[in-house]
Amino acid sequence: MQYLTIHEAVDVAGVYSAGQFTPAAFLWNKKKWRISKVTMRVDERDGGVQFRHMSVVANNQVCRLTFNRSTETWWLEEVWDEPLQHLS
Amino acid sequence: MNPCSTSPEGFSAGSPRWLHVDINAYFATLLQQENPGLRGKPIGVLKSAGRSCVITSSKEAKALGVKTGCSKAEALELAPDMIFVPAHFAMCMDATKRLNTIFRDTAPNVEIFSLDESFLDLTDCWQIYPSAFAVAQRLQDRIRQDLGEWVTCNVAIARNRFLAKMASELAPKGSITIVKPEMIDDLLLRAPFSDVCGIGHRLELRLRRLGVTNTYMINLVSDEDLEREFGPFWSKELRTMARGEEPSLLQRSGRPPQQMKSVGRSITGYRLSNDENNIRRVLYNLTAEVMHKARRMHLCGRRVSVYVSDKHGKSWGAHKTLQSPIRRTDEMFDWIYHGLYRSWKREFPIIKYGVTMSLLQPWESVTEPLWEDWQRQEMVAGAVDQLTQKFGLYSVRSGVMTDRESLIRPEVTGWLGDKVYQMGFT
Repeated sequence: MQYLTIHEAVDVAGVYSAGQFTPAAFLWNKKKWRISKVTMRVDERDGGVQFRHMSVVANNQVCRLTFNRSTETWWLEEVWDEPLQHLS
Repeated sequence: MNPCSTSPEGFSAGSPRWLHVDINAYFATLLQQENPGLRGKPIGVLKSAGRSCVITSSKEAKALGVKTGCSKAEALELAPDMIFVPAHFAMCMDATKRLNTIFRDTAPNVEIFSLDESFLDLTDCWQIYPSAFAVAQRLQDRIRQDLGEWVTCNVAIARNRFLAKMASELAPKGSITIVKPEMIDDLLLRAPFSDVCGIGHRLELRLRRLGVTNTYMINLVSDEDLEREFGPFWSKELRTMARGEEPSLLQRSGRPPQQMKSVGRSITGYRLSNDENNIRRVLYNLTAEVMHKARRMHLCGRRVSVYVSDKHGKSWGAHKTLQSPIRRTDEMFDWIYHGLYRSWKREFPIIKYGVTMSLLQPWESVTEPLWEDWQRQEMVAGAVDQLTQKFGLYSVRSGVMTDRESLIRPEVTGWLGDKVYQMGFT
């Protein structure tokens, strides 16, 4: 079991509430991935470049999404290769 | 008898109370929080994919006997279902910063001890909180809210940091412990040396040779015997700890953060290397990181060191104390590579590399050379700093480091030895 590297740009839809963006779904491989839970938010800064990493459960898989705050683009960075129901 | 109390207890005005917070199995717990499929399972954290050394593990793996520093093969023998996951350093550093915000919301004086441990001084908080227990509960709730439901921590409150940390180490995961005065002797008797802050492995071996198997037993050794065995400094330190008082290591951690005394970086490669280009690239990359940190803090250094080793314990190292301080990567690399490393006839292939700059002092305390050449190179270094500030580390880099895939990037360590830099400059 491992994280598979994807590193592909994705479209993300979500909700702004109380000054915070919560992703609800993303499009990858022409498929809609509905996000059921955000499990971790991480802010990272490299010089003036700021990233917000969000780990989410989407279609029963754990995905690592990254938002580049300078270019305002979303990337699907990694996917855990085992669906959650097989693990629990 | 359990020397720790979990019952509520009130504060009294002015009585010093230290609260120690320790996040349980930090790196692994955060990875389990992120990935619900890993929760409740033994996981081993590796520095990166493809590594074989377990740098830390989850509480489930620890319960099966998996120790930090063991190999994947050794871990699998103890826990055949072990799952290995690379560490997420950015996640740990960000979580530490968020924890620090929670702590500063709770108490006015906070000391970050390591990446996952902090001390909160509750001395003047007795008017704010109804009881010490209430503070601890509030902290645990806030940590769960902010970092996630899987993140648990031990909280211990005692009259000083030494006892609070010791009680925290001994307590079950996720517990709250309040150390009452009458329980201190029992605590000192029960705590193994590995849970005593200030007594390392070598000191433990020397104590055991004297027949001393716990901190309380130091009280049974005479002053003369203690001094003969451990010398004037350590005999006093041990006597202090045996009374349940703070050793100097913890007293020092309470002082305001000072300027860093040295900046270093080491790395273990994936395989042994005899390739001179590769060795040069790694040493340059480590030097660039060291100098990036030093320049951000406006520090220059007068001593440079280099260290290499193979995986069987063979090592070589050298250092040079310079007449005047240096503050640019090219200057430092020149000393590291041409001045020191090249003087060594490589006698073994290398897997571990380390470079350090020490005898640091602020730029302001040093007169800048007036040489036109130095001024010009400093202007270039300043421009690179500005580009790095804007576009990120290694966005502009030497031709030695052209291969983006093999760039060595900064990491955080559990000890957070560079906390002055990490908490102030990142």
